Amino acid sequence: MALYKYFIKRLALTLPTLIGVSIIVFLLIHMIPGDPVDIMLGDRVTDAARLALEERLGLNQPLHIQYWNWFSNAIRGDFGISIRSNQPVIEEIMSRLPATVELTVVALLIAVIFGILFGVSAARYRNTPIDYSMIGFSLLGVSIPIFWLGMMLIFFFSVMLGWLPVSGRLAMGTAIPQVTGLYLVDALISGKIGAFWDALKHLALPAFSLATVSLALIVRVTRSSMLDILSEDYIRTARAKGVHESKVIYTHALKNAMIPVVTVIGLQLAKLMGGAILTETVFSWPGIGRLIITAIGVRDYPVVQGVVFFVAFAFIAINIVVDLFYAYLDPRIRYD
Amino acid sequence: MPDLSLLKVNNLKIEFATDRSKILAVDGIDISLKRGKTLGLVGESGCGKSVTALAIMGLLPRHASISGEVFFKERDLLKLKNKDMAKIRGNQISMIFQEPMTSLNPVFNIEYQMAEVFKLHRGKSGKEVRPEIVDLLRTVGIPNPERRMKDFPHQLSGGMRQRVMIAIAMACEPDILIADEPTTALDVTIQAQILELMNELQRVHDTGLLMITHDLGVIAQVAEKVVVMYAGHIMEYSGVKEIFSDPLHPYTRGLLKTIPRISRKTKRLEEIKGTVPHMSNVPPGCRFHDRCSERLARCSKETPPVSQVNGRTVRCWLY
Ligand SMILES: Nc1ncnc2c1ncn2[C@@H]1O[C@H](COP(=O)(O)OP(=O)(O)OP(=O)(O)O)[C@@H](O)[C@H]1O
Ligand code: SF4
Ligand SMILES: [Mg+2]
Repeated sequence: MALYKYFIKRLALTLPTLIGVSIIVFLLIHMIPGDPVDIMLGDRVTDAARLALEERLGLNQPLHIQYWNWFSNAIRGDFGISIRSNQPVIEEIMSRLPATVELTVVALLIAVIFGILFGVSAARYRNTPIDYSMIGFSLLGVSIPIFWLGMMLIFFFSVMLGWLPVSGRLAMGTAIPQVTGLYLVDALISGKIGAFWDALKHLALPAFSLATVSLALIVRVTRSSMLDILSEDYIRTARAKGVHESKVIYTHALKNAMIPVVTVIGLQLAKLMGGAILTETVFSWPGIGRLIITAIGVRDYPVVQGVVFFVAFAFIAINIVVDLFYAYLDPRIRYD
Repeated sequence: MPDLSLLKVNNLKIEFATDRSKILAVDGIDISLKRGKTLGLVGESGCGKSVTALAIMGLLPRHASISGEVFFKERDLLKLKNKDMAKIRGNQISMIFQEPMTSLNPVFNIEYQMAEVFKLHRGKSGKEVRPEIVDLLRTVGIPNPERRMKDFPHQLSGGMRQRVMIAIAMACEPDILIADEPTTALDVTIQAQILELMNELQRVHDTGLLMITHDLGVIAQVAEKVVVMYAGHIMEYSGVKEIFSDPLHPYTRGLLKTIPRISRKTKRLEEIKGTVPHMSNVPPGCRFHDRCSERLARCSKETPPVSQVNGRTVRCWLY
């Protein structure tokens, strides 16, 4: 069937995309002035020591050889050793990945669930105060910078009201047994309700800051998509059958209206990943975003390369999932 | 004297308030429909046919204001709560639409869209109704119903989709079926089959049929009585034989000339010159006067009243 062929094609395109991305990042990071040797050793060091370190890190070789060395190891699953910490890159990534996954997934859930709910209500109660407040919210939401929003939220909820913590994933002294590394999940598995609550409180502000822009966009797209669909003939048919209005909205209209919304959600995932770097910085959230910022700072080439490779891979995988979801929503794609 | 009508519409007025103007789409019409009978509603585009049907169904948008009465089994539908009206729609009163290509929901299969009516009005669910769905699809002439019911709308032709719409409308054996130009979008052979099918179902279930069309040829095939509408007014209302043998209203005569006849195949079809007035700007006097070939002096000043001629209703100064 066509869908299956399409899926294979997408998978086949994954490898060239990953190679392309890794080459671009490789060139970019080597173009930033300063190299790890300077940063680690400073200026007051002998040329001999400098050369020795360069030799050890392989930095004395031509760029294309350096890339080839990295690449031939990477496809065997070896992403090298962090220059800064001397830990394998894969371990550095794995130890921080769950924090980022937890943050982005919760942010995504907030954006999708509330975005759709608000967007549908705005369309259903078009030209009423409900609609106007949703439009106002979404205009505001898309134009607020995450950085600023994060600081305002910290100022208001943490500093002034003292309701929520300023930073980190858990309060000092709270412990959660590590299973998945996702604290909310781990706390539930081990039945530690107190720890779950603590993790949730730490997550609230960063997740909300990260979600806002996407939430606002999803509200807008859902609203306009719903308004289009609600004037379709088949909506009139549903009503003529005696279907109750809320079912007309949430079943007959929403499933159709979701098709453009899913596109936007797919695009928002890229934004969320980018936004995660900012959010993690503002809230000292120990995830991938913080890792790569630090790594760029000290020119820790293997870590930067490894993180980008991972993120690109995740991104491609997510897009394939989004496409599958399309096919679920729209039978016209499924049967073409 | 007891009135045997199933549906009785009295002095129905429908007005749309838009930003700039008010549109009086229907201006005080009276019609009635009996069990097992067919009432034809004809008129050119924009004269208020669909709006009348939607008002009966309670499906007009919120910015429409409706007055008058729509009696169905001793209840005024215009006074019902939305929840109670939903119980009647698709159950006791059904409607099929002009646009078979877009009237079915593209993301649900045929079985789902049919099962929904049984779920809503009969409280039956899922697998229970499968045999009934298969039967219904077979009745409306869909081959291979067991397989076809798994199809999505885009996999069916326009004629097939209209058959599905009819099946959905007839599922609960309604007392009244409103058909708003059900065959206009279909080609001629399919058109004849669909009309045939509707006639048959109507006969079996003793359904009252309100057939809306701008095609008097369709009316001749199916209706017992005819309402001729023009610009929100009823211009003539009488039996179908009288309409064809002795049309009273100049507008009716104009419409009759537009029917194609095989006997005069070479001549171009005649049409009534001019267009339907826009309802935000209704002309004074008779609404048809600027297109009427039998116009009298008073026609452009005074609106003709409804009068009775040999038991027939007509609105024209000639009578
Ligand atoms: N939702 C609406 N808002 C404003 N005006 C409307 C609306 N629906 C219909 N009208 C107006 O009401 C008048 C009658 O429209 P209606 O759809 O009943 O015509 P019709 O007789 O069914 O014509 P057709 O043969 O084209 O279907 C038209 O002038 C139209 O502009
Ligand atoms: S009232 Fe006058 S203008 Fe109107 S249809 Fe009759 S003759 Fe023609
Ligand atoms: Mg119409």
